[in-house]
Amino acid sequence: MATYSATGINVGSFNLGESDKIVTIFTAERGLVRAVAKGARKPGSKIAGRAEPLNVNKLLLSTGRSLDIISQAEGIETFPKLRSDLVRLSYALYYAELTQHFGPGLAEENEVYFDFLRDALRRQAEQDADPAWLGLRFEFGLLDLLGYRPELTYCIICRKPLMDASLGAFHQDWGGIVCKVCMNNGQNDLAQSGDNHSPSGFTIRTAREITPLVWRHLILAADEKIPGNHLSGKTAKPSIKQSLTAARRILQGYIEHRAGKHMKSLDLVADFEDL
Amino acid sequence: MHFTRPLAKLIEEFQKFPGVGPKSAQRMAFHILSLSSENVHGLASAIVDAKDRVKHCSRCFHYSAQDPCEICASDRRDRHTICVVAEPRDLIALERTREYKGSYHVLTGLISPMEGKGPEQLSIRELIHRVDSEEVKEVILAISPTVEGDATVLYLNHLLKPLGIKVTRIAFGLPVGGDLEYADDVTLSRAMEGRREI
Repeated sequence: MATYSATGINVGSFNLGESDKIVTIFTAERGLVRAVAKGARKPGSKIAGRAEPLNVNKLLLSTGRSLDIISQAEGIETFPKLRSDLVRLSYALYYAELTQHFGPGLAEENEVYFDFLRDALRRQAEQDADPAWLGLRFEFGLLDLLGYRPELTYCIICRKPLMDASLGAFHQDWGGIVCKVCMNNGQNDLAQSGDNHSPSGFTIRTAREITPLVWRHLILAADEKIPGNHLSGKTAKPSIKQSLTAARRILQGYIEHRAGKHMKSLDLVADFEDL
Repeated sequence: MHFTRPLAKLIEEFQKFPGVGPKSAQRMAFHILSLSSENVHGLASAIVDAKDRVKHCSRCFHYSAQDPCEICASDRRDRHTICVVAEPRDLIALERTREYKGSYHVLTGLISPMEGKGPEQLSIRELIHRVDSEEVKEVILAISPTVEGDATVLYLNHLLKPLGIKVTRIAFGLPVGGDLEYADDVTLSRAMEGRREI
């Protein structure tokens, strides 16, 4: 049986048979890989701890007929601090869910995405920054790598630069912000057509209104030069937190629109943030 | 395809069992055919009887043919301590040790963010009600040290601590017969944290 080595981050697992697990791993060498961890559910298993989601391992895998088999695993990083904070753990699992979904589309960026995901998990585990802010930055980074980066500085219809007074709505179909004038024109078209879709293609369903504060959060989160600890989780004012939540919802809505599915882990992120 | 209709139906039904593939399902179906009619009727009635009579205990959510279950109804059990487990099979594993003499509460699952399984889908509300209404002094969280288990423990701790009771979690460490060299970082660090004097 042919073997190969890989370094990977576990992004999901489910039970197989009596005592095995199928682990989904994002590897730096081969992208998303699914492999069987034999006996991983037995208490004495050498591989049990290493088959847990969010662990980084050095692996030796044997090529199987349908699924590869994990022959050896050496732990590199486990992010233990994530396991003591419910909100940060939920965000980390959200990253894992996004990786499972978008992983196949990152085939040419394996190494870059592997480093990006590992750094994002480290930041969520170690930094004091607001977990929602870190989540927003992760989402921008992922969209960048996928080639779906939203347009935030120019109106996606008339291409005029956006300003506080001219902000209209974030349009999921078109992947960016529409200015107030273009939004009003689109809404007038809609009213005349009496349908959900106007002749110009503007739809209410996929447009979300955006305020200047929310817009600034999006601009700052999209800028890689802004340090990661820009917004502290403990000191942010309630109004800032509210606008950050609104910014996150806009971007998460856009990601789900691109994915064509609802990200289940987001439900619990929202529940736990309210605790 | 090559199976007569009742046999194909039996194989199809066996395939719905967890971990049973087409080959195992065929083996089980052929085994049924090789049994005496009396044994097959015994098996069929045992399945129907278990399904009809075994329900969740209204107090602790363990599987039982009586309500409250045998453990909840026993006078010999310490009612001041509740051991919280994820599934009935975890309760059975703990009962096998014969070390614990308190009562139980089965959550019927764990919080699983990636499967969208939240606290409202578990029997957490009923646990809080029990802690509130019964004279509980300690809640022991006997929950697996997985990501889902840790998320559930953090959530339960958040709800239980303000009630002023003692909340503990079972110890982590190396399994009996385990090899220190092969233990992962999290197990080793938790085993160090939970060390005790001998």
